Amino acid sequence: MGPRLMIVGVSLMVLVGLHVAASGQQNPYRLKEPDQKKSCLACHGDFDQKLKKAFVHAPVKNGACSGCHDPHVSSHASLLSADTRQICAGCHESVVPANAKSVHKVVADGECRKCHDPHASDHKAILLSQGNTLCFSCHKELGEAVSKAKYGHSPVQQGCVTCHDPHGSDKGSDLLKTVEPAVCVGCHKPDTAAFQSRHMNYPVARASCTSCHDPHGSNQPALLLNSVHAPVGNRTCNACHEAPTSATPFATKRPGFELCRGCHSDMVNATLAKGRLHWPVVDGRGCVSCHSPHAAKHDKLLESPGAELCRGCHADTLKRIAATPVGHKPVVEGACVGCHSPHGSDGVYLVDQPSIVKLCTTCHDYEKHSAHPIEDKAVDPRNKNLRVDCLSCHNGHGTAHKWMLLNATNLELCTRCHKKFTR
Amino acid sequence: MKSAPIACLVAAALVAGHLGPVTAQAARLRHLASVYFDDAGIGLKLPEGVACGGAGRLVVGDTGNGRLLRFAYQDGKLSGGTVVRIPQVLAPSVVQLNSKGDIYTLDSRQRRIVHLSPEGEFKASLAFDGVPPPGTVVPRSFAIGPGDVIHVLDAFGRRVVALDAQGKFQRALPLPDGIGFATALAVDAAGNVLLIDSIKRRLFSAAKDGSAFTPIGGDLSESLTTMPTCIAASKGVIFVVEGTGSTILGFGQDGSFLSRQLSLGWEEGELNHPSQMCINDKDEVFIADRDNSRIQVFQLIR
Repeated sequence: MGPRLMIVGVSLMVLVGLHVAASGQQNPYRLKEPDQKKSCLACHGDFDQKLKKAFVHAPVKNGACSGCHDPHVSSHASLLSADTRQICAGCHESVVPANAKSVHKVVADGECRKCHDPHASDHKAILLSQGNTLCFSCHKELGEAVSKAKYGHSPVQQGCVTCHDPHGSDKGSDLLKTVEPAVCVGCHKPDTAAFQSRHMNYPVARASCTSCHDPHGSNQPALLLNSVHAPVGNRTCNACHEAPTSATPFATKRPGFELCRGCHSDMVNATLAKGRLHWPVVDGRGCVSCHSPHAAKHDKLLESPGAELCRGCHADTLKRIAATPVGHKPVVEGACVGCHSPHGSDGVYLVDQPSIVKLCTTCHDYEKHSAHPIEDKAVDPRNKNLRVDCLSCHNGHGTAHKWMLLNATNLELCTRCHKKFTR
Repeated sequence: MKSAPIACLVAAALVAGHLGPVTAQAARLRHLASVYFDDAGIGLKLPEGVACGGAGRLVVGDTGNGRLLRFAYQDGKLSGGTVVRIPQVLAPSVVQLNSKGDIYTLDSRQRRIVHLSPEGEFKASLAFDGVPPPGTVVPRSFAIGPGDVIHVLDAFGRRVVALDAQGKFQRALPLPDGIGFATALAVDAAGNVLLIDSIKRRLFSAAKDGSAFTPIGGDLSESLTTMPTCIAASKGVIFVVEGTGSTILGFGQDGSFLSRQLSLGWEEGELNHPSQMCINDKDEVFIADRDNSRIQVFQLIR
């Protein structure tokens, strides 16, 4: 061994010695407790109880708390490492089908915790509560209707998930696992004599069952929707439709309002005699623009209640009304038909009185609130063709000012017309 | 010298590209006059129709009074105001003139289109003979285009029916699939039929000899915030009258938003629930200012 080789050997030994010495020093970032679960539970002791529940979220069970939480800092509540949608989708992305046609809003909003406990639960799929109880905690109105219905539908009792996918559906609307009518004919076999007889031999297996039946329960026999059109109740489908043996059995015998006039001639003729029409009455769809021809949940066979129905076309008006601080009571309550005739009228804005003043005074006693002249003899100073009426000072839907006045102060309001008093 | 034509083309393209939108955007309305009375001093009442034609012809559908009024508006001066009141017309709403000055009006109470002579004598009601099923026609609006072809927006049949000057059926254009509700139509100088969906806020056009409507641009909801009552076309601009909004919007032929003119009010130059709008060859604009019970005249400055 030459002196050079000896130097190299000694140097190597020194380096190895130094490395071993360094390795022996404490790592300042090493967890005191190597088991992450134990480390977290050291402070979050209440989780002991959670872990005893029947269903524990796998990452919790495995002690992978940092799978969802950042142990140091976060921009999200509960030190979550991202927003809930991202965190849950990281593992559960497939709960929503790729080409979903409907997605549960809470899922779309990333509100998974509205249904699931992210740590543990006594209910399967770590749900917050069991079965329909959970669904009806949000869908309260439906829950009440189901509980009060005289005639129930057994799949509803078995659970909403019998027909609906709680996350999303790539089959159709309303989170249905199978589209209508397939979801119905799975149980209600349309090829039986009883089924066909009850449906007057019309091939309803190709139709929409929910246009007549309420799948959640009803006070009507055969789960018919609460408001039933007489020909449906009387099983005289052929009063409106072609014969069941026809090549087009669901075609109506006449188009639009002409079909409805067969029975509702007084109403239709009175409407057509008006100077102004609500145009959907006479468009190709006619009455069914607003009314369900078979059955409906709402009175008068309306498709939706109150202003919700009007919103279908008049969304802009309802949006403005919603933003109006001082609203007119009927408007706020969604009673558009309190002032407007839904079929037709002789007045502008489809009001069902000969004039605005006549309309307003059906509820308001004008004599009690002002001595200002109105109506025929009160010529508007701004325009000789106009007469002063309630809308000269108020807006019938509402304004930002008290009493739905057009201006904030009397001075501003009065000088709209009485300009000589303008300061 | 080879580069000269190219430079010219580039320059022309730049100028065209510059002038096009600027010209359209510069279009604005300057108030000229207002029409309040007939020749006997009787005031208008909720007029919904107004038609303008050559030689200053102006016909007003004085809907609330159940009559038509014939005026002339020439060189900034209004004359006439002759009353036309006939039993065949109870509530004239939309009014149109053909190239011969004949008057057509949609009676909104009887829901039929009545044809009158230029002097206001009754000639006929459109019978829609030969129109394919459904046989019932409920006119919502109508417009007369080149060749005096009458285009009727049939609410019941969800179509536009074209009739020749003699009232004979020419063709039917189905309304586009998925349309909300078509309120109004117009025919431009080239004979293209323009249509507006007042619910979904979309414009459509059908070529003069076309068989279907195609969309112009996209959703207009951002600019068209209330229901439209009328559309009019002039020199590449599609004007849309907002009823509740009481404004006049301008759109390009591609549906692009160009301008918003006028606003709700009672002063002259302001509107309250305007209805029909007409533009003549002198760029004079006549608007039936319904809830102000007057017709307003504007100069369109491009």
